[in-house]
Amino acid sequence: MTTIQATVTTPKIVLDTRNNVFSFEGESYPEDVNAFFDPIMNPLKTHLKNQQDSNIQFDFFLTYFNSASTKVFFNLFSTLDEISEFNSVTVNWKHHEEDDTAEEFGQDFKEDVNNVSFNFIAI
Amino acid sequence: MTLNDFRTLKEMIEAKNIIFCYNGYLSQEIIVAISSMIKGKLSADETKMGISQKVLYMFVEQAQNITRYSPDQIQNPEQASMSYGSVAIGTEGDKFYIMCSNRIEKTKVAALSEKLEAIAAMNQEELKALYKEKMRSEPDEGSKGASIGFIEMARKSSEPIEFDFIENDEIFDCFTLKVVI
Repeated sequence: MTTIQATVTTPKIVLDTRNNVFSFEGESYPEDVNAFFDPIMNPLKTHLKNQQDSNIQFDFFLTYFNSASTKVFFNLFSTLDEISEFNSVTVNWKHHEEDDTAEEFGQDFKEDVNNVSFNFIAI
Repeated sequence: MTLNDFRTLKEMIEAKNIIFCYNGYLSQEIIVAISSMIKGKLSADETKMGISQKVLYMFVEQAQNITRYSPDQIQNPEQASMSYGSVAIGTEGDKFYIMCSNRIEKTKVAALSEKLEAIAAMNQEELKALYKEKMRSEPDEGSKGASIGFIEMARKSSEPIEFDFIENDEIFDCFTLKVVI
C-alpha cells in the first residue's frame, strides 16, 4: 500500500493495489500538475488495466482543484470506464454538503463513464 | 508618491469594495498564502461555501495564468520563479468579481482574443460541450495548463467574461480579464 501525504497544494493519496481501494483527498493545485501526477497516475493506470473480474473502489474527497488537475482526473475516469467492462468499478464522490462546485465536478465526471457505479456522498 | 497619493490610492481601492488586490511578482508560494487569506476572510464573512469555492477557483486560475504566461518574469536559481501581474477580488452588490491583468506578447494576442471571444459568446450548454471536447484532446500549443481554465471560469460565472487588450509598447499589449460570480 502506498500513501502519499497531502501538502497545501496536493491531495493525500492512498493506493491499496492489493485490495484495489484507492483514495484522493484534499486540495489539488500544484504549479506543475504533470510533474506531480504522472509518476502516480502512469503506474496506477497500468495496474488498473491489468485487472480482471475485480472489485475496484475509488474514494474522492477533493475540496478544491484547478483546471489542470481536472484534466488529470478526467483521464483517470477514462481508464476506469475502459476497465469497467471487465471489472466492477465503484466511485464514491464525497463533497461538503454546501459545496456545489465539487459536486458539479463529480457530475461532469459521471456523465462520461458508462459502467462505473457512481455514489455522491454529501458530508 | 506622497502620503496623500497613497491614501488616495487606498481610498480608491476601498471605494470599489475590493477585498484584496495585488500588484507585483507572484509565485506559487504567494498564491498559496493568498488563497489561505481568501478562505479565512470569506469564511469570517459567512460566505456560502458554493460561492467561496468559486471565488477561490477563479483567483487560483487567474493567478496561475500569470505565473505561467506573464512575459515579465524573474528567474532566480536559488528561488522559485516569479511573474509580474495584478489580481483583485471585490464585490458589486451581492456579486463577487475577480480580475487580473498582465502583459502579453502582441504575437499571442490574436489567438487568445479569438478564443476568449468565442467563450464569452457561448451559453452554458455550449461551454460544457467545449469543456468536454478539451478534456478529451491534447492541450493547445503553447499551453502549460489544460486549455480549459478560461472555459471553466466562464462556466462558473454568472455573467459573460469581460476582457480587453490595450497597447502597451511595440512588443507587448496589456491583457485584462474580469469574471463575475
